[in-house]
Amino acid sequence: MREYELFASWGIIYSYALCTVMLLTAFIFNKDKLLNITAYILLPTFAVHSLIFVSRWHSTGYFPANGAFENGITSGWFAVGLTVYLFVKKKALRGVGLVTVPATLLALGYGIMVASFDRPHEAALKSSWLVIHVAFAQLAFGAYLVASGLGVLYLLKDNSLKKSTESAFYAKLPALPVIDETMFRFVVYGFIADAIMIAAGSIWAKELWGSYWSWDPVEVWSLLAWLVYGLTIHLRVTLGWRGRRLAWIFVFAIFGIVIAYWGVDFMVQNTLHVFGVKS
Amino acid sequence: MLFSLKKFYVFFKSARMTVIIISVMMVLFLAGLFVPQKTFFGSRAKYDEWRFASPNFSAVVEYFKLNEIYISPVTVAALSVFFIHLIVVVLNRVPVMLRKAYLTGNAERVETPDIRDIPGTARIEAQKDIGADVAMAEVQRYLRKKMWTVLSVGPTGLTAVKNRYSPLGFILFHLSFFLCLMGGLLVSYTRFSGNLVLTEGQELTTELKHFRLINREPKLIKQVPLLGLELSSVKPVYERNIAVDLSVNMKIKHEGGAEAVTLGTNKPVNKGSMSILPQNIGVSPLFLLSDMYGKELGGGYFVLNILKGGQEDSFEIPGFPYKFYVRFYPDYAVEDGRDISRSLELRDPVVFLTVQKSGGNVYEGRVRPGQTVFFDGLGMRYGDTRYWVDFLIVREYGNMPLFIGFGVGVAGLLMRLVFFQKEVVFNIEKEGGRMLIFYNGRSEYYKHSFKEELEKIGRDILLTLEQDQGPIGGKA
Ligand code: HEM
Repeated sequence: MREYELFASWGIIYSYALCTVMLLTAFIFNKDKLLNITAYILLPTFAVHSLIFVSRWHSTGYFPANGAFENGITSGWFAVGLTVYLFVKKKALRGVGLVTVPATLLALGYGIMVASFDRPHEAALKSSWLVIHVAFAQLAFGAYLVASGLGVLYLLKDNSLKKSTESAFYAKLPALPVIDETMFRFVVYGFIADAIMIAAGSIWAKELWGSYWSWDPVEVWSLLAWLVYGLTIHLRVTLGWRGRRLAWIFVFAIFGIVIAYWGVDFMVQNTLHVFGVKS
Repeated sequence: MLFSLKKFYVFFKSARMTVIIISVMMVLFLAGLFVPQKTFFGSRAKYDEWRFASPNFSAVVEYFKLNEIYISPVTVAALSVFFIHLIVVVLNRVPVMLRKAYLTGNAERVETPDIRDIPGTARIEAQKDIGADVAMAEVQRYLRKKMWTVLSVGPTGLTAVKNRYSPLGFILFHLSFFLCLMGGLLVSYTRFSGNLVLTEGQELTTELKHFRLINREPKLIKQVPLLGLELSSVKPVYERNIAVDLSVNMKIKHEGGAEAVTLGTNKPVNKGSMSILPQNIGVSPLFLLSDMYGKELGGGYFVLNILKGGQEDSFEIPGFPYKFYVRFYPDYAVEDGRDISRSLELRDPVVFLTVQKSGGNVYEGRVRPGQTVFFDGLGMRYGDTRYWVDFLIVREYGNMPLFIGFGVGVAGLLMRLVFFQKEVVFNIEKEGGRMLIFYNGRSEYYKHSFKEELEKIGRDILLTLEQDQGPIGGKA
């Protein structure tokens, strides 16, 4: 790892930590101004984050997916990228950072602590299918994370509406049905990316291990996580679920992905997938 | 009886049943991660140890075959219910979806309703006196440009739909599960998988007797195509003891022809239904046993698991009472008085050889290629070192339905969830010299967000009319 990459990485970690504190403070004390200021810090931080992402890709010659640090950079890039998109496009929903920014902070902080940076690029990781598989996995993760953040916003706004006087802070959020629909929109994007991730992963597995599907714990968890989201789409489309119930589900559904991605490496010894947790 | 059957059928095809059966499958998949699976245990002894430690639990697990949960009768039953339910629901919904896509002749019967007094209807008002037919033509032109399909044009308005065929995505997506099932079953029933080891320079065919290990025998189409495999050369590249590249050059002989190919990690060779993947590599040192006069008595290249440096493996030579233990240092060095290997590259290979007879050592020492060591009146020459490759050879059918299944599934999802259906209705009315255009619409999934899009449609149409028709004003 080059020196400036390491320096910049610590820089964005501190900056995301600062944003996390600011977002939390804004939500605890209902300070709208603080949310605006956070945007001014988050946008340049994301720009530096993007530079690190591109620089890693350029310097190693491979899509950044080697070890916990690169995985943190890539997953965080999609999660914060989607958040920045909301900051720019739908300012009223910028509060999703409340979930996506700390999640990125954790992934990056963890990655930088445990990763061995100059680990050579294993032959097993040199595949075009890896790029598709990982890119869509991280896109799905980012989109689900945003949905989870929107779920939190929905619940907070709904709680505030139940009080006799709605706080001006929450009044600035879009109406509940709009948050509800945006939440579903991100779940749908995550779900499609997830489906592509699983299909690409299984084609890659055939090339690398000789079979499409081995019931490897990571495969099973990914399938489960995908099914959870499939189920929630059903609940909405066929059973008409909306609002609070679904928001709660979206807030927690992300844990399926978190387990598939980090948990399994910790829990079991016999997985073929090692994301760098043990590296 | 009949009544309850009907009730059961109604329940069976309900949306609630879908949620239940998907949940059941999820529970089963989840159970596979927590209920000890046969594959969790490295050996039979370990498995027996667990059985002994929890006799009641293991009895239940074994009775329901939950230790191979993904192929257990319980899972097969759940999967069967899933697919039966799916086919029942899809068949029931096909007519609905065709109707939604206006494919059952209903497109011709669409009539534009009067929306003027419906909540949510917006209005554009053209100040200038333009004809209703001109306004109608402009609205249609705009909609067509924006990929809407105009379904009905009446004297007072029109109805249009965007992403008309989107509902068919539901059928495609859910049907793709059947393609994946078909592919999966085909793969599973026709799968032959085995490991075959070749040392550089060696040639073998894919006859079963040559396999080191047969992992899986096919239930259908048992005959595995006969290929001749000749390993020409192997070149691994290591960086700090991590394999970063692998080139395996070989000749594949098939139906009288021979083809030179290069395989590697992530680069299998596929010959029809056969896939050949290099799974592991190691080294085969050449050891030749001779008598005092140098007459060769036996030996050859021995496939040993010793590449990782310092690992020990052993071999025997038939007809001789010795056991030969080998430790291998591909890039030999001495560090702190200990033998080590600087890298995994074959730069300076050294073998630490121990020869045992009836449990006692008769020789122990380091040997370099070309050297001969002596014991019990015999000579043992260490020739060169070649690589061996452990190939995973798989023969299976069913790739095609699987690939098509993936493609159709993703296409179906995109069609249904990204390009979802929207409908708009316009009423055009001339009132006291003013041209009034009323419009309303609805969208699948995103009722509220569609309001913004609808407003934009109104603004755009007004703009179009202004550009083409000179100065006209209006309000939305
Ligand atoms: C027994 C199995 C299943 C049945 C009977 C079933 C049935 C249905 C039905 C009736 C709809 C509503 C269609 C509409 O009105 O637009 C639907 C939608 C959907 N289902 Fe399923 N489904 C099943 C399994 C699954 C699974 C396993 C997944 C993925 C994890 C899934 C994902 C979806 C999605 C994403 C939608 C929304 C898009 C669409 O309409 O196609 N379904 N399903």
